Amino acid sequence: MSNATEQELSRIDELLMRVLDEEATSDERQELLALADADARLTELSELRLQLRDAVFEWSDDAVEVVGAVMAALQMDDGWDALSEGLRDAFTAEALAFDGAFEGAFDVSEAVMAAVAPVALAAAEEAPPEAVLSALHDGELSAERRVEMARVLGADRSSLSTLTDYADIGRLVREGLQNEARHADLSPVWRSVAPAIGLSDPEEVPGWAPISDALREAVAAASVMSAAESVALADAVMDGIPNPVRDLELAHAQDLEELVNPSELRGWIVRLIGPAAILALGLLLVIPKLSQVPETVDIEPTPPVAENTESEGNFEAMTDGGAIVDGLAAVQVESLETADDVFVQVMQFDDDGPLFLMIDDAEEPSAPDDGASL
Amino acid sequence: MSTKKNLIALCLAALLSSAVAPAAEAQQRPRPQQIAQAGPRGGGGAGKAAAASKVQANIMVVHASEDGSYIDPKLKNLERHLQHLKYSSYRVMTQESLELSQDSDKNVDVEGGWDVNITLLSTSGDKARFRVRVSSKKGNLADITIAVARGRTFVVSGPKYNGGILLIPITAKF
Repeated sequence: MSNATEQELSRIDELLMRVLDEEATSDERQELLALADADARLTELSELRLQLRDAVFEWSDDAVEVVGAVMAALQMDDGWDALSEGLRDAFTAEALAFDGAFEGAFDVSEAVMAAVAPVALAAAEEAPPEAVLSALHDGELSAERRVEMARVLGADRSSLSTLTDYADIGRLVREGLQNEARHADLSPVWRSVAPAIGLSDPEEVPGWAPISDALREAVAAASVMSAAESVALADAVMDGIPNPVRDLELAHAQDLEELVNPSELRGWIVRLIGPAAILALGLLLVIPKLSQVPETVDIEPTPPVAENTESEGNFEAMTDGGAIVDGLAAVQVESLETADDVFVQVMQFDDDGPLFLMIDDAEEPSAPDDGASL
Repeated sequence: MSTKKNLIALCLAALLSSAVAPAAEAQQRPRPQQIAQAGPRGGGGAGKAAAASKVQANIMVVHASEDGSYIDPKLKNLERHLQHLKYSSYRVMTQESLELSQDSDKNVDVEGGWDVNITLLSTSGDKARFRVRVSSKKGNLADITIAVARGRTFVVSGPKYNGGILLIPITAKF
């Protein structure tokens, strides 16, 4: 259990005053008792806490005295200390000067005012002006000034209340603006403002160009489809084309320049396939012995997938629509090589029809021709 | 100790003997392409192809044109599919039946300066694999490996001829 904080003391003070003014609600009375019970300094003063309870619920007539005792126990300044001290000092001085029986009243007002005035003046001088409070609230004071203000505000409830008011006003203003702006289209405002402040391009954001370039490159890289994605896309396109428009250009000679030289092609095939074949052979030997799985299960026959050294994915898609006999394509192109300036188109008009391999060598017809084609 | 050595030697011998047989089988494959295209147990397996019978390739050379409306009776089986082409006249110019055994090839001279060379690569079940090489006077035009089911047809077409085009239907019979 610890002593009440400054904020809690302020609340206790407020509640005590409301109790004395008989304005406190039932909840406020309960809150006051809870705050008092939570303070370590009142814990040992059980009798005072009982008295406070009686006073809070108006069961006793000495509420003023009890409140004063509680405030004293909590070391709370009720603002009258300076006045009472001045009054006490003045009265004591007058009493000491008066030699003899105390007869009737004597005027101590001047002495009291003389004692109180400096204290009140000092308090007034110490209270920060409203402009300083506003600057403090807006974060416009230096660090040293803020430290100094913190020391002053610790005992200046009025300034604290003012700061609280500032905070409430700021919050209300922000909420009001946001509510109004929510219904307003402010998008054209910037296009009007930008030229007025010297910006040629309202959309230009200084320093954004490198970021946009990086984003553009990333998007472009992500948009490149993999072979599997290309095949899936080609399949989807082929499925969407009704017969008999199943006409696809298979290969373009300029795209297949490396295929013209068969010896070079074979060299690449040997270089690429050789190690793979050796590895596959090794697996054929080792895997069955390790896993005791029959050899026929290890490697299934290569499915009837057409192979094109230029673009395997596209080629597979083109031959995928071949005539089907007992679940297998009746006619299927497995590989295709072309020379320069030669176009090959693979067509099949009916599912059970023949596969057409249209070869266009761009050669002049041997007899008068009108440019015939399929 | 010697028993263990003998046991290890026996295991090594068994492993080597099982490795030699598939390797020898792989060496019999005629072209590296077949390894890539058919796979270890594909139709290109030399052992299976050797056991298959010969394949008959029926080849026709058809002149398709828009000159009149005619379709040769020999093309009755293809008539329905030829209707998709823009031509209205189909006349069979030549017809021949080529008997092919594995790795054997035959040439067909086609009007228009084309030459079609067809090689039987292998047979497997009800499929035959052919290599079709099309060339003209300026050189090789296309080199195609194609698998055809028994009784099915593929059509090589292209050379422009006499206001039309030549179609070369090839049907596998075996």
